[in-house]
Amino acid sequence: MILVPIVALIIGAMIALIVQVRVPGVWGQYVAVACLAGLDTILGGVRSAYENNFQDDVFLSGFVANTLIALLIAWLGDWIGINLYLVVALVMGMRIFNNLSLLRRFMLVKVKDFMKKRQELKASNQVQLLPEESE
Amino acid sequence: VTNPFARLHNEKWVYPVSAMSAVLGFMMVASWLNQKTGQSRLRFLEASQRGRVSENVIDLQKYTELQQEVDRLRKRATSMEKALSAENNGSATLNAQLQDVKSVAALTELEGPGIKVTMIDNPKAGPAPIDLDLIHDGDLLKVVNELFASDAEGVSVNGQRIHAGSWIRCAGPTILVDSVKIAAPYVISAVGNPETLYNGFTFKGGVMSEIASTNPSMVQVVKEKSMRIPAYLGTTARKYSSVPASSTPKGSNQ
Repeated sequence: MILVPIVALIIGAMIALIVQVRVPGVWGQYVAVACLAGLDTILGGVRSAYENNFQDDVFLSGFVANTLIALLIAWLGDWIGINLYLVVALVMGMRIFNNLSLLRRFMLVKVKDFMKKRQELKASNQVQLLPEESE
Repeated sequence: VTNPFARLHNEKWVYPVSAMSAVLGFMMVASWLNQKTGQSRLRFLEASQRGRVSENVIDLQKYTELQQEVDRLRKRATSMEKALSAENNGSATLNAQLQDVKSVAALTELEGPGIKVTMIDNPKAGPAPIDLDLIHDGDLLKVVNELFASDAEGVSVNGQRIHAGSWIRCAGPTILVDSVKIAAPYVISAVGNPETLYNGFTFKGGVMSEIASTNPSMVQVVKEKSMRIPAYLGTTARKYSSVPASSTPKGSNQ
């Protein structure tokens, strides 16, 4: 199931490539900053799914709001002459790392559980087999 | 037992996350395409500067149209010149045109209002002057360039007329202008609108304040009501190039 968003990402990228979108001048930079916020929100969504408390209204509004706020901060920074997009890059970068490390832990726990269960199954199989051999 | 990557218990997250992933992919490619296809040098400008650059970009369509207009007018002028020279009194017209061209080529003296810029090394500098205390060849170049940018119609440096192929460079304690040595004080005369020249040269943060950063008395500017700048007297001989026989009076678009 984790593959579905990745495929969707690639499809979105393909559409943009086919349409040959042109973001005029300055806005390309702002969109790049907004991408960071979007990436963070999506990772946050996947994480909350693993935590079993995913709410689609929170996720959707978070995606839109975060993207727009990142865009706004970058634009404002250019307007007043301070590189405020660095703030977005820093905060969103930290959150992406945070989300990814939490995701990694969930994955690790799941993999460990899986391995353990399989070993237990093997052991129980052997236990079942043993009496047959002893006969 | 199930593969941990295969499925989650609660799958309602998949569709919203996938939809937004698609949007994110779209945005990423959009900004990437913009970076890739943007003119490479413009990428290094700040966003606000880029905006200003794009405001000043010449419309190529209009530029081509104007070029065609110039071409058409030049051709008409040429045909009229030919008609005139065919008659007996054509030589006077030809001569007038020749003088016009010569003045553009800096081969005649020029007379008119303008400004005079005098530059000296910092008089208050001690026995070991720093770089900023001295007038360099680059400073002369900047001043000449700035005066032409302020619509100067003719410029001379210490009596050396600046023409299309002029060069200014350092030669130890002196400066060479078209292989003639000149030394301080450097007097640069420019013919043109005195107001435009003066303001273009003295505005805050402009060339003047840049050169006279250590001592304001290094650069002095005077407006002149009438002045004369000499003609270029150096060689105009061509060794390697010639005007092609099939040359038509066309602009730079050929």
